[in-house]
Order: sequence, then structure tokens, then C-alpha cells
Amino acid sequence: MALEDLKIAWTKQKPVGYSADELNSIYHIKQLHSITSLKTGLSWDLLLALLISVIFIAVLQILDFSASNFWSVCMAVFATQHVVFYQYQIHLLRKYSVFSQNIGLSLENVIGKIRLLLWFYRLWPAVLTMLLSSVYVILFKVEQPIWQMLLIGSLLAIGVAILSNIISAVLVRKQLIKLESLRSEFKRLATD
Amino acid sequence: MINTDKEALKLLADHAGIIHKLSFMYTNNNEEYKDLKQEISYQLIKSFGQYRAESKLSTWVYKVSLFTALSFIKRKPGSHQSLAEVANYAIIENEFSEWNNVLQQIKRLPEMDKTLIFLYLEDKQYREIAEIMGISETNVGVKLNRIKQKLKEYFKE
Repeated sequence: MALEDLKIAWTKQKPVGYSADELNSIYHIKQLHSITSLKTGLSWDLLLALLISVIFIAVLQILDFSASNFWSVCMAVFATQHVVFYQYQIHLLRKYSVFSQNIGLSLENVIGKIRLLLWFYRLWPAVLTMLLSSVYVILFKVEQPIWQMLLIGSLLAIGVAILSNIISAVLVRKQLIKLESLRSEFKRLATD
Repeated sequence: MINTDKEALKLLADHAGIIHKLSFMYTNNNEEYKDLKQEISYQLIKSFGQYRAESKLSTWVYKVSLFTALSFIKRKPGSHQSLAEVANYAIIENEFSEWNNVLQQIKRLPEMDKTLIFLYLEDKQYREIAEIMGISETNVGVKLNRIKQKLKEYFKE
């Protein structure tokens, strides 16, 4: 019967792999999905940073320390720089990943640029806090006891900024480096 | 458990034959074939991490692939009717060209029946077909005999 004969031909059919084009398009989808989840992660990170900043400012204002206003402004600066970094990352991802035709090249560009940004991320909170502390000391000519308050404030601000920046850095690194290694594996598997 | 994308890709390559034949069975032209193959492949890469070794890996691959194929057909019901395009199936028309009539008839079957015949052609045991489709072994036997009978009558005509 025809069905039995077809079954014999069907099971004897030689294995079929993936062409480079097929793997490229699967990789493209994978990259777009990874970038979407990366954007979601970054949005949550931004939300967390803004929330921490608002709570921090509120607590400072309620406790009404002598340096409360200064540190509230510092926290507002941290929150603003986080919004700017977030916008920059989203801009990079959009520019190099979605609108570019060359997926491989776009990925390399994104990884390269975000790697630089990650270093900046790690160093920036400490530099900014030290800078603001110095400004505070020069402007208000602070006396000895206020130094303790300044130190605690600096440490808290650095802690909050580093926590938030590390979340962001880990998210970016994890997604993009995973995609980079995956691309070489896709190339290896292509049958043509 | 499959933990990395690299492992998932290797497994995808190992099961490329299943994905190829299933995509062929559920589509009617080259474009649809490519789309479905791409979609199944992506779903498998994404889902390999959820495989818990409760069933054979190939059984699990069939389940995920069939589920994806059925969702794909639901989303594209219009194009699924274009059986005339089977003859222009550039990628694989040579593989099964002499079986074109039989395959056209199988492709006209309702989805459930087509899935049963596909798994029968894949030489799966009733027990595995039952596990993949979530029905009883007896049901598999009864349904398969009925479909075979239906096809036999068609080929007699």
C-alpha cells in the first residue's frame, strides 16, 4: 500500500542540517529577544534606582540633618545620571541592533561600546561622590563634626549608586557576551 | 538538564531531521516551510532549559515542535489552504516527489489525524504517540486504523 511505501521512504530520508542562512535568521530572532529582555531588565534597574533615590531624599528631608539638602541634591544628581545612562544604552541598542542590516557587525559594536560604558559605570559613582563632597567642603567650609556626616552620606550614596550600576552592568554583560559566544556556535553548526 | 545555549544548539542540530520533516508536513510552500522551521528551531532553543528528563528527549522535541506547528497553522489559516503550491516546493520536492499524491492527501487531513499519520511515518510506537499527543494507546490504535482506511479508500479511487 502507498502509505507503507511512503513510510519506508520517509524513515530512510537522510538527515538534514541547517544552512548558514537558516542559522543566521534564528540567531537574529534570538538576538532581538535577548535585546528585548535586556531592555526590560534595564528599565527595572532604572526604576529601582529612582525609587531608592526618592526614598533616600524623603528620609533625609524628614530627619532634617544639617547636610540634608546637600545630600538630597546629590541623590537627585545620581538619579538624573542614571536616567541619562539608561537613555544612552537604549539608544545604543536601538541604533546598532534593530536598524542595522548587518547583525554580526551591530552586535560587535554594541558589545564594544557597552564594555566601555561598564567601566565608566563602576568608576563614576565614587568619582562623583568625592567630587560633590569636595564641593561641599569648599562651599560651606565645614568643621570637624560634620565630616562624619559627610563620610556617612558619601558611603551611602556610593553604595546605592554601585548597587544599581552593578545590576545594570551584570544585565548588559550577561546578555551581550552570551550572544557573542552563541554567534560563533551558530557559524560552526552551519552545514554549507 | 540542558543549561547552555551551546548545548541547546547542538541538540537542535541533532534533531534537525525531525524539525525538517515536521515543517514539511505542516506547510504548503517554501516560505511557510522556512518560517515554520525557523519558529520551531527558535522555540526549541528557548525551551531546552525546561526539559526535565521525565520523557525521552526526542518525545519532548516532538511535543514542542508539534505544539509550535499547530500554533503556527492557527495564526496562518488562509495560507494553509493553498495546496496547489505543494508542487512548487523547491527545497524538498525532490526528496518525496514520487509521493506527492499521497502527501497531498495526508496534508488535507484534519490536524489531529495529520499529526497521527506524521508520527506513524516517523515509526513511533503507539505508546510514544500516545505520550506525545496526550491520548490513550487504544485511542491511537483506533484512530490510526480509521485514518489508514480513509486513505486506502482514496487511493483505490
